[in-house]
Amino acid sequence: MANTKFLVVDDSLTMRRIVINTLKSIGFENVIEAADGKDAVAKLLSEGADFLITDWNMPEMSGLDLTKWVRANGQFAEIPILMITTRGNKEDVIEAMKMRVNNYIVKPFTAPGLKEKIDQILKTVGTGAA
Amino acid sequence: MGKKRNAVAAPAPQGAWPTRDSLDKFIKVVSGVIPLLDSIRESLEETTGSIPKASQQLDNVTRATESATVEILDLLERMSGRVRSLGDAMAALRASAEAEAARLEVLDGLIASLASTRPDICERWNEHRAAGCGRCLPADVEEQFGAISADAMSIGMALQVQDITTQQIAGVSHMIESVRMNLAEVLQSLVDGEKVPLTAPAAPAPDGHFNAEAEYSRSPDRQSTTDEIVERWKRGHNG
Repeated sequence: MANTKFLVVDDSLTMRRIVINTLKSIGFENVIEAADGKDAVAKLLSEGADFLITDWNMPEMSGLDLTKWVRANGQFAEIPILMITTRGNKEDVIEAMKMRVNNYIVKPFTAPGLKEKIDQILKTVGTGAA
Repeated sequence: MGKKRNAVAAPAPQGAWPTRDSLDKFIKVVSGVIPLLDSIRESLEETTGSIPKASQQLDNVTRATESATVEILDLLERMSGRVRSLGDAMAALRASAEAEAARLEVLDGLIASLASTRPDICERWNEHRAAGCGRCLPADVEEQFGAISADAMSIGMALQVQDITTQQIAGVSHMIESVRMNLAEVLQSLVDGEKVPLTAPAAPAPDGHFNAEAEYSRSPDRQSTTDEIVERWKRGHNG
């Protein structure tokens, strides 16, 4: 699990740094980053990843569109996706769940909160449950 | 022989035709409005000219805060690295002190065995021990380093405010731009002489880069509510 390769996607450099630092503080050192959905697609195709953490509001390609692309792409269709966003409305959460994100965090997030969600997802993926 | 009819005009109903006085007054009012319209036009021109500058300044604020935030994150990372190194050094020092304490205990035993033959050595040794030759480290040093690391982490997490305020500022810029576009339309209509109804400005379609309703709240309630929505969704769609 510690070798899980994360792809962190956010148009904010600050947020990418914070998420990456938090991942490293909880034991996940293998992390790459992308500045928007389009960049994320390129990184997935060239470098691959085991776990996607993505923002929603981004230029070029939103986190939701990225999720749609990933779920429609045979090679990456089942990789876990965690949405971290400022959007906290019920409708937004449901829309993301419809796109099959595995879980959803509202910014500002906490380190324990992120760890909890990642652990839950990795455990679920490990058991093959939805 | 026909009678010549006198053509008598029907009297005009009262108020149907403006009098000369009222016409003069009307012309005065219209003459007064024209410079006022000119003044409004000049004001609008000045305002629409200032708005791009305001938007640019907001953009500059966003860039400056992002730059400063990244600098702070760099410093926090360096600080955390140094604290980790200090913690490692402290742990090595404590291990070394414990090893030394164990060696001293062995020496205590050996010297005690000389008590009858060499009491002077025993006395000197006891004096030496009483002076505190062993290293004493504060018990909670590692705990303090841990607390410093945790505080540095908390500072880093609090800097998420920069991303959230950037989105709020983007929302304001978007509104400013929509006002500018509508003012520009009104200005154009004044120049062209066409009437344009002044309704609430219709904002241009948002480009999806930002969430104008982003909020910075440390309350755990937002995440709790989100978790409930997610759990309910999963229960409802997993059979």
